[in-house]
Amino acid sequence: MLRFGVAVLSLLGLAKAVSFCLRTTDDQAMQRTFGRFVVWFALPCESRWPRDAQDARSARNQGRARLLRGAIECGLVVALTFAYARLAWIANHFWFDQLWTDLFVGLWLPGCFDVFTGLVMQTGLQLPEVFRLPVLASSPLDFWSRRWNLFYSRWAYRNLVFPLRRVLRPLPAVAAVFVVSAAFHEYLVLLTLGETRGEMTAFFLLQGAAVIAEIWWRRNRGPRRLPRLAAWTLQSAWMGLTTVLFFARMERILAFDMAHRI
Amino acid sequence: MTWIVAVPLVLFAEALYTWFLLRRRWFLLAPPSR
Repeated sequence: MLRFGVAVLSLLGLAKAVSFCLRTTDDQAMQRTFGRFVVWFALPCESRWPRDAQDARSARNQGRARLLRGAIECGLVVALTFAYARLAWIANHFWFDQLWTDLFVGLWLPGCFDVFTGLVMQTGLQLPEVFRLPVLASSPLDFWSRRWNLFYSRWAYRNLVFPLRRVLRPLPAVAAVFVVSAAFHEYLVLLTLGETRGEMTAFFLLQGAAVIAEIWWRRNRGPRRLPRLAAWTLQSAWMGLTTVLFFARMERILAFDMAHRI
Repeated sequence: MTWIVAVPLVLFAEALYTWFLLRRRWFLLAPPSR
C-alpha cells in the first residue's frame, strides 16, 4: 500500500512543479526564500505568507474555526464507524453500504484536511480551504467547484482552464479539467494495483458531463432552482449511483471496510 | 495499517513539521535582507 502514498505524493509534486514553472502559485512570497519554498512545496495545498501581524492573527482565528469544524467531522466519522460495525443492515444492503461509504469519505477526508490546515494555520500561514462540507452539496457544479478538493479546482483553473481558454470555448476547457482528473486517478489506481479497467475514467467523464450539462442549463434556462432539500437529495442519489465506479478500485486501496473489525 | 488511518497520521506529522520549522524561526525562513 506504500505504492498509493508514492502515487499521491508524485501527483502533488507534479501539481506544485507545474504551478511553480508557470508562476501561477497563490502567493509569490512563499518562494522568496529556500525555507519558505520547502514549506510551500511540502504542504498538500496552497499557502500564503502573512503580510503582517494582523494577517497572521486572522489566519490563527480562522484556523481555530477550521479545527472546530474538523473535530465535528472527525466525531461523525467515529460515529459512522461504530454504526457500520453495530448495524448489520448497512453492510448487508448494497445501496446502504454505498451511501455509507460516500458519507464516510465525504466527512473523513474533509475532517482530516480541516484539522490539518487548522493546525498549520496556528503558525500564522494562511491555507485556503480544500474541502467545504461536500456532504451538503446541492448539485454537481456546487460539489466540484465549491466543495470538493478546491486545491485541485483552483490549480486546474489557473493551469488548465485559463491557458486553454485562448484556444478553446469555455465548456471544452471545463471538460479538459475532468479529463486530466480522470488521468490522475487512473494513474493512482494503475500504480497501486498494477491494473485498471477504466472505472475512474468513466466516473470522471460522467461527472464532467453532469457539470457541463448544469452550466449549459443555468446559462440557457435561467437561474431557476430546485428547493434545497430536493436538490441535496438528488445530488446525494447521483453521487451514490456514480461513486460505485469510483469505489470499484478505491475501496480496496483505502480499505473502508475496516469497520468490520471493530 | 490502512490508508484510512495513515492519511490522518501523515497529515498530522506534516502539520508538526511545518509548525516546528516556522515556530523555530529557522534562519532560512527569515525574509531576505535588502
